[in-house]
Amino acid sequence: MIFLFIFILIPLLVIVIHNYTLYSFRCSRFDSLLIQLQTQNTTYLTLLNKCYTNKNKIRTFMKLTIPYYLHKAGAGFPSPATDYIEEDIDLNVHLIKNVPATFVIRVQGKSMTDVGINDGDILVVDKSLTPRNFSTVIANVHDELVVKSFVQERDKKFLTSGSKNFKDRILINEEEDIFIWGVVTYVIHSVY
Amino acid sequence: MSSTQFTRKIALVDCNSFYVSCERLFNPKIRKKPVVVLSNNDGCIISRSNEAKALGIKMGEPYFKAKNIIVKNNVNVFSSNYSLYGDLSRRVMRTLKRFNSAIEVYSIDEAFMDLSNFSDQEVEEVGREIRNTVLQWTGIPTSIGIAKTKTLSKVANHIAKKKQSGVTSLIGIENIDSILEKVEINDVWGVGRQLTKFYQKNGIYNAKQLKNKSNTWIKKCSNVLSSRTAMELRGIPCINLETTATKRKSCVVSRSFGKRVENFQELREAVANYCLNASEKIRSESLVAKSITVFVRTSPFQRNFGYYSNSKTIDFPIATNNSIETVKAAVSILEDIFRNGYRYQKAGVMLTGLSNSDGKKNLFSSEKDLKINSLMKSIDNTNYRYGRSTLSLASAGVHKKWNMRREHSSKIDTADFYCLPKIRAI
Repeated sequence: MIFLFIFILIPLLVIVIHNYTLYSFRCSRFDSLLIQLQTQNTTYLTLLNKCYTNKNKIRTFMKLTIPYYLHKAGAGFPSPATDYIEEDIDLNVHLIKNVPATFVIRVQGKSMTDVGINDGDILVVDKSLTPRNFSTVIANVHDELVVKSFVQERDKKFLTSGSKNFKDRILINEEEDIFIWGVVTYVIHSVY
Repeated sequence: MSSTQFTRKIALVDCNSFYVSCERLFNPKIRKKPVVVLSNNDGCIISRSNEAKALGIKMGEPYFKAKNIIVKNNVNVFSSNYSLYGDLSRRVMRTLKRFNSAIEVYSIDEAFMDLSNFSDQEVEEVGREIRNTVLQWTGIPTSIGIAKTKTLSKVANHIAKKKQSGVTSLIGIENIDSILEKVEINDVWGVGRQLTKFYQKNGIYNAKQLKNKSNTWIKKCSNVLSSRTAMELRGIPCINLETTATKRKSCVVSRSFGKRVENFQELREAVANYCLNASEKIRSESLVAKSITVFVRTSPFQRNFGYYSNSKTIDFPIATNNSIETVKAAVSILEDIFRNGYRYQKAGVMLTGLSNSDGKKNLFSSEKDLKINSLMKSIDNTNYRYGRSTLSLASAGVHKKWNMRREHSSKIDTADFYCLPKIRAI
């Protein structure tokens, strides 16, 4: 009984004082509490771990907020989907690896259609990468930034427009102000 | 213990002609040409490339005064594009944070870093690596000065600016007097215009002379801050790195108009706009304001039209960050201080007494507050997603004739999906 008092009631008392909106609770284990808070239009489910260790510091406890679908607690079969709740997909996380070095730009012109880059497409450009052979790059050619394909042959590096015949190749040469500005990592093309 | 290995090392990373470098990033045509960037309303020159400096264009010079040189030498002129500069500044600072050192973001283009955990020998190499990484990742060239104190790192940075490598370390140099001798007193960090005059009157013309003055003399004649500067020049750290941003206590939005404004309607639109801006800013930092000040003034240089300047402050009944309420308050103040027959040049809004808005409830809060909060949140989210002032209050107007003059803007914004830089595929 004393155990119960220390472990559950005291923390509960503290919680009740701090959150007057406390709605219902239940004890899942001895050292953690599952607490359901109900505000006007949202329900939070919160797990407070070991909240009895220091009752003065209730705000600093480890707090896990669990995404929560509020189902009617009916007697029927529970939705099997509730086990698979995940956050929304955030494309930024997947398309942008190095945030400060990544720029998003828009393409103008049709010379790169052979490699799948069309007029008006969005390019994700990472300035921190070094290009591989046949990478698509943004390059500075005679004081203009342009989209090109990067081709390496033995120790020579070229820029082409992605067409197969390589007739338009430009030799990369820092002295003539022809250099790589950034490497394209993704092409975003609208098909709708 | 004579551990000279791990003395305190402070690096100052400073972006070279930052605004110009930003404009050059997507416009290589001006990479080696003279370039200047103008302040709001295309008033003064606030950033110059080295080529423009060589032409004798001065910092802060009014645009119209320098126009002769600019036209004659085909200098490229840009209006300030602060959303682009802000985004690139954030990128530079984030890159610096990758080096796992304590960092103080000092201004839009400067940051102090604590490199004390590197040894004396390798610290200059680390500086070069930082410089190269920032240049590679963001395209912004920087200069880095490394020394024992913040004030000395400013001195080191000054020297680095003139070097090809862009990095200077004063660590491990026993006697830096010969270096300090070449630093003029007005170039020392913390010595302003008034103090420069005072020092020069007393025969102090360079940093070395200040360093050798006694503390008691400086403290007696000036204040404790000046003696700190002198101590720092001696290599004794007095000014610490401020790594945590302090929450702001007030928020000001004020602009000069693109053209003089005479009627109340337009002035009200402008003030409402500034209010929306300021409220959005404090909402993004989850703050609430206790009071609001509005000020208006005419140009101080056109006295023949009559000079008028006034301001008024009122308190909110409950601290708020709600745009509708701030605009209402601001307009009521404006009605009070507006006088007919003047040609207004500038207006501004200031929210003061800011404090955290941690969902505090009080006697007077009601259901309605929650609704308004979620309305504000939707407005902010919409504007974040679809560009500024997609959603706005009607009182903020649509035409905005009074808006800033930005005739030479590059109109590129790397943080706005609708103004992305365009690159040709040819």
